[in-house]
Amino acid sequence: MVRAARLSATALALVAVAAAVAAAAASLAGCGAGERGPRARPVAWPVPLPAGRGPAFRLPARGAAAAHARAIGPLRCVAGGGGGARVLAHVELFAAGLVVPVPAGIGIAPPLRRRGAYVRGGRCSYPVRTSEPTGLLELRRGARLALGDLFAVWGQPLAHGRLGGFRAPVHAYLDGRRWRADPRTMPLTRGAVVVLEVGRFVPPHATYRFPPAR
Amino acid sequence: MSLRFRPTALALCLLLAGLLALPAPRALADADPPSDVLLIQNVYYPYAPKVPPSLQAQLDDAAARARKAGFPIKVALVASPADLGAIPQMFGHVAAYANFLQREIAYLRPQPTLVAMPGGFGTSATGPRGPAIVRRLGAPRTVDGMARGAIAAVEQLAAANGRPISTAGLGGGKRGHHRTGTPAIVLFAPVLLLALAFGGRTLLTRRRRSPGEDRRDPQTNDSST
Repeated sequence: MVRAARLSATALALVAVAAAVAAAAASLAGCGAGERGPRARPVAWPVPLPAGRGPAFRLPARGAAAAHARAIGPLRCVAGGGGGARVLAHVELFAAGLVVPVPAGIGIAPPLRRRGAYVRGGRCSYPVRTSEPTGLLELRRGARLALGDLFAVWGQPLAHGRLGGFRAPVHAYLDGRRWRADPRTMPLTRGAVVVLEVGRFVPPHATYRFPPAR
Repeated sequence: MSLRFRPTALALCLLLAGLLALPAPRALADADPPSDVLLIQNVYYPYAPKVPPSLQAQLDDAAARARKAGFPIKVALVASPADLGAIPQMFGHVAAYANFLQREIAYLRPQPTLVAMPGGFGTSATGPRGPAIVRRLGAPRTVDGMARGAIAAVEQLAAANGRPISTAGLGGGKRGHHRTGTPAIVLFAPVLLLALAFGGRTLLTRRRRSPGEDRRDPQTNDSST
């Protein structure tokens, strides 16, 4: 009797493990389902996140100070962008598990020269600016900048409990690692990959393939 | 082992089975430039190499015409991993990226999406004939080829979805793109005919006014002055 029960338990366990392995294999293979191209292969692609809709997710590119090209703390708006090529960093914002788009034209005083989604120039530029709506930050070479400078130029609040119009604990990541200090003190340097989140956790990316410097 | 361990063993097995059955954790991603740019405009162009402005104008025009005709397609030309930002691993997987991008930018309803990469074209939400249409375009090797193929694809996808677009403004292409512009001879034929008619009439008028003038040789003419 005892032996029969032992056998039954072992058989049950084997069946369960086999079913689990089959399910895992099917799940992995299903990741490529729907792909019809010749290069289709069972790879676990990242899951897309859409941008949030509504005014809270549509932040204007500048506050009053930048709109009038006024100095913001030690940051001055310089015609011609201050000269020289800029180095690049990237910032990504999430709220409630949705993307908060970073607009083009942060740190560029009007009148702007626009081309579609891009800003090609303006009256003057601050040491940190965006010319495209992709989160790509253009930093004046040699400037000592922090994340707080970006938000100051942008005219949006940033604190432990505030990100733009969202009031909730802010989780900050630099190159995929949690930044526990004041997010405004996070250094903005060449190649920095910054992720800020409020609400639902989104696994932060640690790397970003940058385009050629501009 | 005895009977009293059976429930524990079963629980452990089920736990193990559950863990194995869980799909591998997949990263959530957004930081690919096309998804941000396409929220604002119809076509994403790569960082480098640059697409010639004339081709950009033609592709913008094709996408705008498709939108006007009721087929609001978004197009991304992806020339290098740098165009994919935080997900460079999707470079070369054009069909998978087309599906990914479509899900990022769709709002309330599926968003027809076309992606071009150096290895080929991919579509999402473009109807049942979409994949076959872009497969026929082949694999572009240059950004010019990607742009020309995308122009042809937009035209054909719109037509396949019952929203044919006017092709009057589109220029001709090389590989994978049929000529859509009006031939120059057709445009200039009326002007040429008018010029010939005007020239003929002038000639006749001159002959009527001085019938012998044309017969005089240049020497005579010169000597008379």
